[in-house]
Amino acid sequence: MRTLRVALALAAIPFGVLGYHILVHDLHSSPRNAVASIVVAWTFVAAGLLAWSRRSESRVGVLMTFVGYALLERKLQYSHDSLVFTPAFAFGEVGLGAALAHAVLAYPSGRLSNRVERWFVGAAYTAAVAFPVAMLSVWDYPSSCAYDCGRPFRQHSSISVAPSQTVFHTLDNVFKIGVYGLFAVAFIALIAWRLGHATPRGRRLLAPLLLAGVVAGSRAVWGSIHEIGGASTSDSFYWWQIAGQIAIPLALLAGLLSARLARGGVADLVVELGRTPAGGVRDALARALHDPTLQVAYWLPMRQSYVDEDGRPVEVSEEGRRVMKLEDIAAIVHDPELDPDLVEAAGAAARLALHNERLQADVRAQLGKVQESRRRIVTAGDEQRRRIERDLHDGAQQRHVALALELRLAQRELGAELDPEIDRILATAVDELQVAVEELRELARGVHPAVLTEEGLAGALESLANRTPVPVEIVSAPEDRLPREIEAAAYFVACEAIANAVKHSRATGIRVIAQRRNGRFVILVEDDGIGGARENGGSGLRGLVDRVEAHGGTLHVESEPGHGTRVIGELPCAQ
Amino acid sequence: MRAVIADDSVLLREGVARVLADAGIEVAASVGDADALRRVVATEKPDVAIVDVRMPPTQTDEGSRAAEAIRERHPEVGILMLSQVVEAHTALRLFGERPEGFGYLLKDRVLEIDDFVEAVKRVARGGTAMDPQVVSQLVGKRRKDDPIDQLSPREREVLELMAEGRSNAGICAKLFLSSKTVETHVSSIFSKLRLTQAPDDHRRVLAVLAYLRAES
Repeated sequence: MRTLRVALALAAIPFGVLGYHILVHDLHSSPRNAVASIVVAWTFVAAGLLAWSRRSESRVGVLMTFVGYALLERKLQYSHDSLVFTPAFAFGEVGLGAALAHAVLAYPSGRLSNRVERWFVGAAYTAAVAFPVAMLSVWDYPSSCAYDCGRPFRQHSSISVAPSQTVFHTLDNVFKIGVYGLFAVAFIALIAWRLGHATPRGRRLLAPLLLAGVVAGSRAVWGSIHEIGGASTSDSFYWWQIAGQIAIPLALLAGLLSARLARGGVADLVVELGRTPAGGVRDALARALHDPTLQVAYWLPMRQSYVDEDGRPVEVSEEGRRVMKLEDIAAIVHDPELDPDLVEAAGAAARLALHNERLQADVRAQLGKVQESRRRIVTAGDEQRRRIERDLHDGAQQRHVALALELRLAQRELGAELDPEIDRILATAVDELQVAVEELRELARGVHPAVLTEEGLAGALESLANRTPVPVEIVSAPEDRLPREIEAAAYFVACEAIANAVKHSRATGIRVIAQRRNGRFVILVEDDGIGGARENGGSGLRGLVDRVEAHGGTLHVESEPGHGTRVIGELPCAQ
Repeated sequence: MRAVIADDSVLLREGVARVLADAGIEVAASVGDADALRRVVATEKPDVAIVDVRMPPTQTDEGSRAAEAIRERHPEVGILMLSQVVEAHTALRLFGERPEGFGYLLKDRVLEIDDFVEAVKRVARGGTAMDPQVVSQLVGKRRKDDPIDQLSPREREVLELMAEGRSNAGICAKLFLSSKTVETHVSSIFSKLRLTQAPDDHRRVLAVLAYLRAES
């Protein structure tokens, strides 16, 4: 293949020189115009061969080289030798008309993507050959002339079988005005459709080349309109044509260059991954491949499912995306316009990092489950406490009061006739029952205070403050209700902190702040006691840390000896 | 005087009914849930309804919600709430700005039959009955520079009884004091707390509760 490409590159040089010679000597073109025309062809050949060697999987390079050669071949039709002129004229329109459209529509893969495009390209090749051949077969020497008709010299077709100037003229008009114009309009429409349906990245990739295609296409439309007007080819029109043509291989080079840059990005990726922080592999891949929409899903064999880097389950869908799977590690979900080889290379480079990330995602997923179950345990515990409180309240307490009332009524109704001893026994029984009720009430309060369920945190904190022998100032408390588990956690933090302050700190005052702050709920209890409390000191505080952490919060204690104690609990709490 | 009772414990309901009957109060109806309570209040038009705070089906605050609805629709009906636990916060919320014809007592208070009957009659006549435990929570709250600290122990007792909703006569009976002495204590309390003397018992309770609430 390499030899073939070198041969094609070398052959283009004498071919171009020959073309220049014919343009200047036979067509009497100015040397400037002739050079420009040859340079256009050479640019196609050079860009095509370069693309062919760098992106051998894409056939665009081959097509571009073909366009270049077709453009060189076209110059031969200006030869005064009929044997050169006849075949050159027959295939002269293939390069600029059909092959160029074929290359542009096939970019970047080299294949036409749908049936309409295939029909269009097939029709373009057929028309580009059929019309010139038909014209040659009715060539009426010396009246017939294809171009430069003012000059006395006329080319002669070697295959003219039924010379007819009328038929020739009609064919010439239909071809140059009707067919050229129609094909150009259809070509522009196809490009517009493709741009409209491309992904953002695809659009960026296609834009330069398609723009060049539009320039060339609109030139063809303008050209056919020009033919209708009957004006001769002007100098500025010629340069427009040259600019439009040369823009196409240049745009191809630009596309090629961007692919080269992306490959450079993969090389950088290897270096970058060395210093990528945990969780940054996706971003590094997205940067290296220039695809901000890129996603990475990690495979968890235990669960037979994909998760994101935080361990949350994700769906891997091919809809509108392309998925590159790294066996047992991860799936890279990316823009379908990305070069699959490039994604493959990036995936290979990132393999180890992705493997690490997968392990971390696995751990996070498990941690999430543990956290979830921890929260459920605490919530279930709270629910249980609430039930016990209610059972005590509606059961034992209620019965005790009713029973005491029965005894009291008996004592009263029997009245004076009652033996004083029995009267005393009944009175004692009522008193004892009352003590029992009081004890049950305290027990229920300790399990889960009814006021917390009924009045919320503000009422429960107030009730707590009222029963504390040390003055408690409630600086702030939420008047509205919070989620149950948050209320319970905050209440028990305050309860334990206040109890500790009363028992151990010799405090003379306690302050409680309970408020929302930046999407979190903060419960702060501070005293002016002797300090020196330890976070992992009592089992009470340890239990509180568990409770708060189970709801995704934090608890910490500041207790410098001599500077009082501050217990600060923070819980996640949406507004 | 006519009363209705709402409590889901049949035993307690019957006990309370007997207590009231013995005291000469007619028990027009005795029911077990909040809906039945609303119905009998509308049909029987009692002077007072004795209502358990927690009742079926949710056992949370059906009683107090029914009480609020009754106060709204039948302001002439006195409401005496009974609860297994009393909280200052709940009390102040239930009383709102209208202590007239409203009471909030711990359930065990029924065992002190005379005091309980007194409270029922007071509420039926448009008076107030606040549980002593709530009052002592409100009064006993420790604050810095609290004018309550300037009260003598006796004056504090009188203040608490006033806050419970008792009249001067009631306070006399409770503390075995002459009405003259009680009046002296009352005016002393009002001047120490820098409150204006209220013309009647209703407004007196209001003033005292407002004072205690403001400090809470």
